[in-house]
Amino acid sequence: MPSSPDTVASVESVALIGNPNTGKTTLFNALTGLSQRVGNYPGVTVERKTGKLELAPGRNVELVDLPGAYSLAASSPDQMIAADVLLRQQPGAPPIDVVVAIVDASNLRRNLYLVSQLMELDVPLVVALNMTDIASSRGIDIDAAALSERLGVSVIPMCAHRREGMGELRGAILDALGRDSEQNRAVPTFPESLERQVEILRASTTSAGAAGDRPLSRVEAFRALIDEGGYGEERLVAERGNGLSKELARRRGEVGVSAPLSSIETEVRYSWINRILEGCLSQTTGQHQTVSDKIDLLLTHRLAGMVIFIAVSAFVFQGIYQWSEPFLGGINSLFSGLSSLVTDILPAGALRSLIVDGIIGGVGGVILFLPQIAILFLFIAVLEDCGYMSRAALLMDRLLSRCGLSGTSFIPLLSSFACAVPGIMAARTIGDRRDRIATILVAPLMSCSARLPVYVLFIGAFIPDRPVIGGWLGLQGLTLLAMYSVGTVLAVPIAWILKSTLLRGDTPSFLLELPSYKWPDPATVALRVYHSGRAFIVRAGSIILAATIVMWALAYFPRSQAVIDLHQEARSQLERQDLAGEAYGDALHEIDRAEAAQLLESSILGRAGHLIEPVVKPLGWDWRIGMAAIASFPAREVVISVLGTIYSMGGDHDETSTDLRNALGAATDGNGNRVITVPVALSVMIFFALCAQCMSTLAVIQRETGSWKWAALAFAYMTLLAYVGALVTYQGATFLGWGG
Amino acid sequence: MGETVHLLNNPAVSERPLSDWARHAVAVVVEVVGSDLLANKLRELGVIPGAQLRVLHAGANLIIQIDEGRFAIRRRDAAAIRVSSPPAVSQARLAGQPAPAQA
Repeated sequence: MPSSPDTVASVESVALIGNPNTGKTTLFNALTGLSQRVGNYPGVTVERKTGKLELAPGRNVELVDLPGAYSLAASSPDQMIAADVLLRQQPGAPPIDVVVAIVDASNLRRNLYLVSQLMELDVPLVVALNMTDIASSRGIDIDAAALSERLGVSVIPMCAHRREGMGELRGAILDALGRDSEQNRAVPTFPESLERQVEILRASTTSAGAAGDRPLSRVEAFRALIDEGGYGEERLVAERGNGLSKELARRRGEVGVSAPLSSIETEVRYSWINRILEGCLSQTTGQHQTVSDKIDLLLTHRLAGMVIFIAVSAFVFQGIYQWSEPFLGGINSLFSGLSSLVTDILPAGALRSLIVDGIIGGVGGVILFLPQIAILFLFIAVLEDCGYMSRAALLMDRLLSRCGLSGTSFIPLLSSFACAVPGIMAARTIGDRRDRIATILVAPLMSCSARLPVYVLFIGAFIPDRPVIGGWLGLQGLTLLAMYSVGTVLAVPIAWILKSTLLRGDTPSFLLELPSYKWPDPATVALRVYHSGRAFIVRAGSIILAATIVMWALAYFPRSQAVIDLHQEARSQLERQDLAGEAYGDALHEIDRAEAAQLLESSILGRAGHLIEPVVKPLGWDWRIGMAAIASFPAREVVISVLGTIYSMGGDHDETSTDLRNALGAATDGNGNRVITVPVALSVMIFFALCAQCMSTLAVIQRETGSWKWAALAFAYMTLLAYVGALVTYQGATFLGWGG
Repeated sequence: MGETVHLLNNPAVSERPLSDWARHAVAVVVEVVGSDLLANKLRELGVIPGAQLRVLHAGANLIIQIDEGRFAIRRRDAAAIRVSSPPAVSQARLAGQPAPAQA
């Protein structure tokens, strides 16, 4: 829509669109910098990225980054977004005033396919001819002026990652804002028979449409006709009824060709492209083999490539653990300092407990994830920006296709060994929606780092230190390995089942572009890490906080006054005994711990533990373990401190403390029998290995899949799996007489 | 996609599925079989009759070069792309002329 410079209209919108791997993100970042905002389009998982673009001092427009696409044809809601925004059909998205098509100068032919479709829209167009440096290094020479004349729109040569051509681009956009779409632009000509059917289809929607049905534009009608079985048709039929479906079939038949309509479109467009490029594009017959090709000889090699890939994966995995250590220490200190501060300031009571145990504990638990998330996304951003990610997906594809997934699921699943939260967020790179959801649903089965303390504690307390293989693998190590493997091994059939039932659909074609290798752009990487971290904190954080507070309340209320009075009496008695300093301190601690344990038992949580005891009996658990399991549902690590409280040890123990281990080992029930034996310990660990005890994970699943039903499914199937697994483990181990 | 066997058994037809093409050799597309999602995507990328492709890597997955782009595709999916030798080269050879430069 043209707007004169004098009118103060609502902010103008400029859309940025192009093939994947054309430097679109680099360009977007360069043009908008920190003014970027990431939001949502309703109903899809694709993000809405916008930013402020300053074309001239005082002249700002909104720049909208549309998802990368090779064509406007859409087979899913996510792919439809670009077309919807451009055709002014996207609710909430303002109409686009200018389209900037970014094309890769070294792949011009293919990139112009999308441009040929954009030319058919009634919006001014500017072509940003990017990556001119790569083109010239390949001996490709493009006459931009001639191209511009042929196309009838501005063509701006540039190199976004070197920030060259930016000024000219801004000028061209500014220019385009002041006018209607170019009158003399070149458009592909389709066969008369096809155009006629498109027109008939259009006319039929105008007349037969129900009140309120918008008539279809030429582009919409064209796409609906050509994209047989595509998402556009699906949506229109859902809106307008099966009559449209029949009409479409009739029109397609009337075109009167035997070849698929989509092949007509591609042949017409590529003929148009070849005519346009004649005389504008020349390539000196240089090397066929580029530097990237040479690197790929090694990196995609069956053996060498795999070895390098394993090394890279190990490096990423290790990096997430090690590099986050110093930060975790710092964060822990920060939050315990904060807790102490509040404990000193406020009088004992519900409010203090809420703030210290509930809020600070909850928020601290969220922030604790941040270093791992940031580091993981740093790795992912670097690997993806430099181009290695697609090679990694290629190498893993064979293995993963056996489970019904594809190579692109690998990095999300690998990352989930560190923490499922960023792993699930990383699943965004998976193009196919069904694959993405299946990956997200099995990611929590990868034994994350929060489970490790549980394993360490129970293995240390119950598994004897016996050597198994020579001198380098003991029973303890073997058990740890088994725990890690259980989830991974089970993920295979589960992914397969999901893909065969709920997420059934045509096996999506695995067609992956391998972009040229390049040095990662620091700004792109930094912004990506920032946005991921922020998204996590805001979304998952709010839910975790809410859940932690609820769990706090369940563990706090009701306060048995009788218990409090009893222990207050004990403290008074202690005072009267007049003991020496340390003995006094220990005795006081003892009373505090006993009080905490009894209050916990009489709380809702404690009663819940008693209530589910019959259910967990077959697992070999008593009410205390049951209670600890329930309490750890928002976040697994909580189980350590809860166990500590239950066994009257106070809350500040960690998994390596021998006191807690001894206490667990020595715990007896009313009859003097040991409560926790080896089979019980194994069943507890298996339960924790397979259960979805992490509000953060469930929250992120909801956010990434766009619906709570998937999060609920993940919770349900994992809880069931965990229960059955623990049951089988306990009964089996008891039957086999393990642990004596 | 189930037509590959018949093609291989017919020696008179010089076209073969891309999945059988030798590494590094240039192939000219005859057609992309089918109108499913993959076939459409391949056409959009430029795999249309007359286009030249090269197989850069052949394993369980193929890496093919389409113009200046490189794409990975599963071997069984690549069977949908029917290709033959570049006609210009073979005709030139017959006529004793030098082969034209490849774009």
